[in-house]
Amino acid sequence: MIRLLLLLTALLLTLPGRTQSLDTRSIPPNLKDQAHAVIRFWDESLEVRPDGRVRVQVHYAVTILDRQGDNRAACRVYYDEKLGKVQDFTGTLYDAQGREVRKLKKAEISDMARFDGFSLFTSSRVQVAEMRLPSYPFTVAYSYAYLEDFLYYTTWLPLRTEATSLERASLTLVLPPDKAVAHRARHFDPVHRAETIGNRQQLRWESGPIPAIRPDPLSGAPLTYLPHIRLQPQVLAFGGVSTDGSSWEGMGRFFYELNKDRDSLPPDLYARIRALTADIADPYTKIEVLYRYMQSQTRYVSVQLGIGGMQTFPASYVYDNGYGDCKALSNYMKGMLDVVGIEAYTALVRAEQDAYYLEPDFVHDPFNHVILCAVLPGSGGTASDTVWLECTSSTLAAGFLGNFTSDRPVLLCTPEGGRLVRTPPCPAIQNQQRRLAEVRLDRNGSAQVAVSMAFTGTQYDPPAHAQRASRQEQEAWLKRRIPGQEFTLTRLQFGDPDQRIGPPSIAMQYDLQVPRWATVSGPRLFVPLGRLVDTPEIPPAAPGRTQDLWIDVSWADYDTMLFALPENYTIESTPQTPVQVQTPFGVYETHIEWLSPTLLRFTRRLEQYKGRHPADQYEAYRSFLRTVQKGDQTQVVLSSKS
Amino acid sequence: MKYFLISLAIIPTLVHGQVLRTDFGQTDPADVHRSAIPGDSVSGAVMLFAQGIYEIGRWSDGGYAAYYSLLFRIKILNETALALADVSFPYFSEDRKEQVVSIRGSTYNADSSGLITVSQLDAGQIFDDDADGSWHLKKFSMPQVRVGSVIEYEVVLRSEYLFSLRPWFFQQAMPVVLSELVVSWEEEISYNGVILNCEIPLERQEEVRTLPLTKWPTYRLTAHHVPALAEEPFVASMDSYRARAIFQLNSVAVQGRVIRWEKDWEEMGRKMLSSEQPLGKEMRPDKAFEPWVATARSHPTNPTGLRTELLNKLWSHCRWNGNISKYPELGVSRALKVGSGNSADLNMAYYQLLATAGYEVYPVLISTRSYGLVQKALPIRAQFNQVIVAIVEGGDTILIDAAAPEAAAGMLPDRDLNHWGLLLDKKGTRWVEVEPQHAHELSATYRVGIDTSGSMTVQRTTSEGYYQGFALQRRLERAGDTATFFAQLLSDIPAIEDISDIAVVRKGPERWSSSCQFEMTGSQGKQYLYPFFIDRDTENPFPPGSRSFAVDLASPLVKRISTFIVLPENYTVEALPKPATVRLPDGAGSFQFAVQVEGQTLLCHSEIRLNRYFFAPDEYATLREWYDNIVQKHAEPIILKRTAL
Repeated sequence: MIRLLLLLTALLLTLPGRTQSLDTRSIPPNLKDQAHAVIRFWDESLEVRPDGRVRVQVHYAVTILDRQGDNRAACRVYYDEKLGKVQDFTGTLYDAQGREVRKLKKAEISDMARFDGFSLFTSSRVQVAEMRLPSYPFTVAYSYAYLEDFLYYTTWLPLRTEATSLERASLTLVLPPDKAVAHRARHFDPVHRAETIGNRQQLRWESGPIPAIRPDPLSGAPLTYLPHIRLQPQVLAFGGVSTDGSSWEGMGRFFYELNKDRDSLPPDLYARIRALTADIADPYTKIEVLYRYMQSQTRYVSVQLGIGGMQTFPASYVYDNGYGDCKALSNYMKGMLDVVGIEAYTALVRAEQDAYYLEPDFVHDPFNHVILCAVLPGSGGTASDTVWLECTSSTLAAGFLGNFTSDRPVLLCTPEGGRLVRTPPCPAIQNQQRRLAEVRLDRNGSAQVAVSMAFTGTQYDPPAHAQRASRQEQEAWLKRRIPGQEFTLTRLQFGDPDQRIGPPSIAMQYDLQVPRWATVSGPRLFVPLGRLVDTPEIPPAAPGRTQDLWIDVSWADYDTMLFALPENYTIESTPQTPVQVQTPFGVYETHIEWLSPTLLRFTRRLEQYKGRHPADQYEAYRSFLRTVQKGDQTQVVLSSKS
Repeated sequence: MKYFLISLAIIPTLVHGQVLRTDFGQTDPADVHRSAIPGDSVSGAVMLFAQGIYEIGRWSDGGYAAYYSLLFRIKILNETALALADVSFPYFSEDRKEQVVSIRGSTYNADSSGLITVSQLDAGQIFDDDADGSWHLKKFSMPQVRVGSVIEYEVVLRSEYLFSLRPWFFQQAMPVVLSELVVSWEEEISYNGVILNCEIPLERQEEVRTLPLTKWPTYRLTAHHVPALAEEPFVASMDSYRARAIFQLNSVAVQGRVIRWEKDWEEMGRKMLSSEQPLGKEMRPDKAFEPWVATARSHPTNPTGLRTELLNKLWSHCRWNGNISKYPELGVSRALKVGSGNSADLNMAYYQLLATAGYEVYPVLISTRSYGLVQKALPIRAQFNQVIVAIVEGGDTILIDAAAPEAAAGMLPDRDLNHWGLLLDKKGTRWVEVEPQHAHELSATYRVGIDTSGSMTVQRTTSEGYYQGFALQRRLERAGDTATFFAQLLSDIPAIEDISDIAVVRKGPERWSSSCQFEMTGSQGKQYLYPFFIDRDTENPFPPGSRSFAVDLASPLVKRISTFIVLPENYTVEALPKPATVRLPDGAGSFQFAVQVEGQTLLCHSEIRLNRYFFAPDEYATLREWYDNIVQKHAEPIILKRTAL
């Protein structure tokens, strides 16, 4: 009876969608503004089953307003083949007046593997259907259902994407009596209702119209502005492990328990580790040596099968294959450190610019990556220390995480449970590019150029990869780094990378023959000074910007350019320097100094600082970059005496 | 394009063949120990040995099939090549007509003591993914792969697709030490083969394998030390120049009677036009088109107008779904019903419409630019991937691709301009030229007003014609709106503070016009003014060095820039760039630069014309030098002097 009641409730809840007029003339004008598509309604219900799985049922209709909205005419249903197929996938196509044109045919639904862009293989699949009309606007309505592990269902996004508006949406969550869910709505204010039907709880959220959101340039990850609801089960149960889901402690314990005792190593590797570290007393050096050994013996290959999304392959899998994903490689390294008595814990992290996804005051699971934290206990009054390890990189140094995972809260998974800790920051001073260039210029504008460069921290990775490439790949890499400049490379040499604990570094030298560094026009020689420097691009104007400005990375470039100019010229024009600009976004300084009538020194300092700034600061940021661009395009003009 | 044919024997009989084995497992220990290999400066890996064994015959597992035994042995020389250890092998699994029979793999590593360890690929780590429902991928990662490893894997594929065999590439992105192809077929069938682009000597051996009941003509082709195929800009498809072998079925003997396949283009065309074939069955005009044509005719219009009217009518009922093919995906009537179709659906629908309207019209097979150049030596269908429409009107042949917006202007899109197409005509299939009728045309005009304080107001108006016009349309679509598009265009000029009065107008099917205005701050004292602003050529698109392959720009180019500057009274001209005219030999191109002063008005003009769009490798140096002159001239500023009022 209760089941029937629930079914009827679910039907009633989705009924408005079925009867809603899909005439596109009824769309309010403000919902067409900035929009390529309008979601007319989106009704989604989640029925959590006692086994922890959830049946997701969706019925929605979307009107495509123009060609840029075409991709919304397709319906993609992602599912895990281990849990079963997509059910009841239907669709209907409507014309501009909301009259039915046709129904979706089964043969039009294709079912294929989902490629996440980095995994060799996953059990995730996708069913895709698409209906279109040749003229706009038109409307498509789809409905479907599939099973999901509730642990994986973490976020509900009614808008789904940018440049799409919404007329109305609802989410209904039906829970067994013994299950509880914490929830938090962000960037919108849905009407929320909770009630008990029979012995089941029902939570419901309803949202009215939401105008389209256009992402502003440099506006951060989508969840920083798209309306969404986060859901978090209060008990985490999976793979035979069950813990409290309402605390970071419980969540960390869950992942610890799910992955424990999978790091034992085969005897010959054990012996190899012993031999590698036999003469090393310093624990930092042990970490350094073992990390480099792990890097030389393994590579990153992702295979995600069923529980594999949460549970690591055992260390023996990495040993046998020489590869693994982030969990497996971290677990393998953890096992290696264990052999030499160094304690280490895996840490769950939201990588890249999405650090924002983790809100420390709301326990949930935004994680998409795993790193390792080695803990060195203090002795004789010294405090304990940590060394962070990114185990998927073949080039990074121990103790350096780079922009991918630095400076953010992560969940350390320990036997005592989870602990939110912060990874070390990655300030500009760590991420340097230094250049000393000597430019010897001829009367015909051509130049012999000798350049020495040093890269540290986050600026180290590209040259470190190039250093390991073939000669032809190295040359191609350098050419990409110096766009808009024609040259012949006469020498290219890399130093050995310094991968001791801390920010890594590498040096590089190259010589160029540049046929047209300067422009000859009549008696004049126009000599640009900033030809080799890396000028940041100016992002496009964004009038009426509403989203905050996010600068994701800090770095510093220092350039010194020495120009040996041809004899018998007078200086017709020299730009006014020094230029000194200090802003919250960064610092820019240039200075021109005549060391002799034919010897000029141009120095440049450009630093960018990571940060989040109010939307109204965006123009000031562009203006800062414009100053940089103008300063980098500076030139001196010489006039021939003869 | 170089090619030669393999001659064939046709002797009818039957029975079963026998599988030839690859050299899997015969890795030379010396290759594992070596740290350098000739040619290794080019890429991060060297293909030590590539072996393909193709056996086509009647097998005991049922019917005719082709067995492909493919072996690849690769030396990993640096980290950039580690990705080669992750293998994806595509096969067409629809109706299980292709099946991967077996996969084997080994990784060879030498330790510091010189001991070689062999790690076998675990069968449990071989995965199967369906890429799009029909195409599947066998995916695996070779174990224990590090710099210095030799990886070796063998894939055996059974395929019932016998008409075209899988091409064999002697040349790869990495150098190949030895590449060997063995093709063997049961004598009751035979294949035509063609070797394309093989600059290196190819050893050929022929023999007839004699089995108890059948004979198997067998061809062995071996190439030693094949250099890596280095990419060059302005090549439509590098595959056009890759050394490879392709095969197509020539004949089958059934009960003593030899059935020959398509001995020439004529026969291939005739067969493709027969009503059982995918193209042929779309040749009969649909009666449903008659009212469309009648409506279109009722508007008083000329023949060009009528076919444009029919095209617009077609587009209002059916849109291109983004797929290119020489065969219809849904068929004309279904595509019209669904409202979208692939390029062949659209083009065959247009064919039917035109035929209904009484036009003399033919389908034309082409290979799009990204698909590679066509060879004319052997009638091989697989080298075409697109069908377009030819209209013969007053002795002229007009080619139209109804799946491209360019059709509205009576031109082919850039992607189709690949030199040759095969016009299918029951009365005589023939080659037609697929060349551009128009150019990239850009005319930009700047009107610059300078006030006495040095601030500038710059108005830019443009006229973009033909290929340039359609390119503008596509860029606009990508940018999303005109304001973003202009902001992107002008972002390289640091002194620009504000852009205003932005407009883009389509003036006709092939012509767009745009306008915008921006302000620039002037400098004190002397002012160095680059008169062509964003239309200035700052970089030679033709990089230094020699070329192996022709430059193929697809269409000619005409770019005109005119700048009018009105100076205030406190400004004088101190120096001007000198006028220049530079021509390419044989009228292939010209560059003219002129500057004039009349009172306080300055006029600068630049005109670049590339009348030809195909340049042989030995013409490259001249072409590059010619463009150098343009970059140099555009880099010269006008020098203005400001005095106090």
